[in-house]
Amino acid sequence: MRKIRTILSHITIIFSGMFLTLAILNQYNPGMGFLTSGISMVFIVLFCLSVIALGVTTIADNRRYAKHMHQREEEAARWKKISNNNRRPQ
Amino acid sequence: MLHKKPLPILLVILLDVLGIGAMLGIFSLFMFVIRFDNGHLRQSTVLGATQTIDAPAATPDPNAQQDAAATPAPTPTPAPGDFSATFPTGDLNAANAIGSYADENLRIVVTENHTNDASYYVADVWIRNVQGFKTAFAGGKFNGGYAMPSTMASENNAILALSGDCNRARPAGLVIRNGTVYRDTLQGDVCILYADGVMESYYESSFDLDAAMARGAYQSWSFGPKLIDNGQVPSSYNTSDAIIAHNPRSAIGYYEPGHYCLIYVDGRQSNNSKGLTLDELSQIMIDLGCVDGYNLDGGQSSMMVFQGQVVGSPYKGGREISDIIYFGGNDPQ
Repeated sequence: MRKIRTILSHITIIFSGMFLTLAILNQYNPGMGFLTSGISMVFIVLFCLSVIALGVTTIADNRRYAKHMHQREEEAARWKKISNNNRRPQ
Repeated sequence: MLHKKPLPILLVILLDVLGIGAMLGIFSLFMFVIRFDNGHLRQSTVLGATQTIDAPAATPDPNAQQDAAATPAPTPTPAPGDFSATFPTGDLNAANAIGSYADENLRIVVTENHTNDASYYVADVWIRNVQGFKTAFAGGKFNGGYAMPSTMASENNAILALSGDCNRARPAGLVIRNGTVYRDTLQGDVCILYADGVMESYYESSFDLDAAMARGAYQSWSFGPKLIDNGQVPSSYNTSDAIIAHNPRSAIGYYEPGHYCLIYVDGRQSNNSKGLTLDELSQIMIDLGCVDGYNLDGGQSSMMVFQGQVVGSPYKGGREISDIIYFGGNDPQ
């Protein structure tokens, strides 16, 4: 999962860099249709899909981590209770 | 589990930048090289369907000879696209003229002019028939590639040629050339030369493609912006600030059917001419007496060729584009 997230992160950085470049070029010559052409639309769709995939994997990873941490806390609480019960009376 | 040591952060950044460059390369490949509508013809000749411009000016009545003395001959009604009635005769005279040309169907006077910041050249053109207003694509066909305007002018034996709108560089924009529709999508302001010789430019928002087709559009250009709005300098232009600023320029102006002007502006030359803003170009066209004007692809693309010679000093010697406007020489293919 971590490897997939890393790859998706780089893909989104690359797409973002590309679209920032195209946005700057579009300021100078909007007539070229850098952001409105058919091929731009294809790249925008791919960008959106990569962002959605990154978002879904990040949320899934965060939830799994939160669940794992919650289980660890429960385990710690249980062990603490057990150790308290087994403590010798003073 | 043993974790691999991560790559140095500078290397990661470098790889991402290389990735951005690769993606831009792929984008450019699909945008400019691999075109899915390559040479696709949208509609056959417009003129053939709507108008015939080769029709004789007037059909003589066989009985008219007998009554010639009694009744005056009717004034012939010129066919649409025939400008014989207004085509001038006589000497070509113009102040600042750097060249002229005249034959029975075409008259051209090229003048050199200066403002404080720019040198510009105006080619005043009269044609006898709308078919004298010609355009050509690089490679001889739509999306046929790119070529220097001077090369295209030479290939077509043009007397006068001007760089066009470089339609191949953009994925959309109306392209009608010599009566044939090659692309029927809109992008930006549009200029139409109709078969009756009238030239009109339109804001993108107010252009009706179907109406223009029905009226008999003979040539079209999609670059812009429109330069004259009801005889005035427009209050704003439908383009970016970078294009509005001082630049080398190509533009086309319209006086009346059969009478046009092509304007070429030297620019980006600090010691000679830094070019004209769109406001300045609009004002010059209005001062010339144009009733309509339209900006074509400028910058390094701008080039005018008259009788085989490049006019002025194109920025960096010009560059390859996809089309030209020309007069004289070969008929369009």
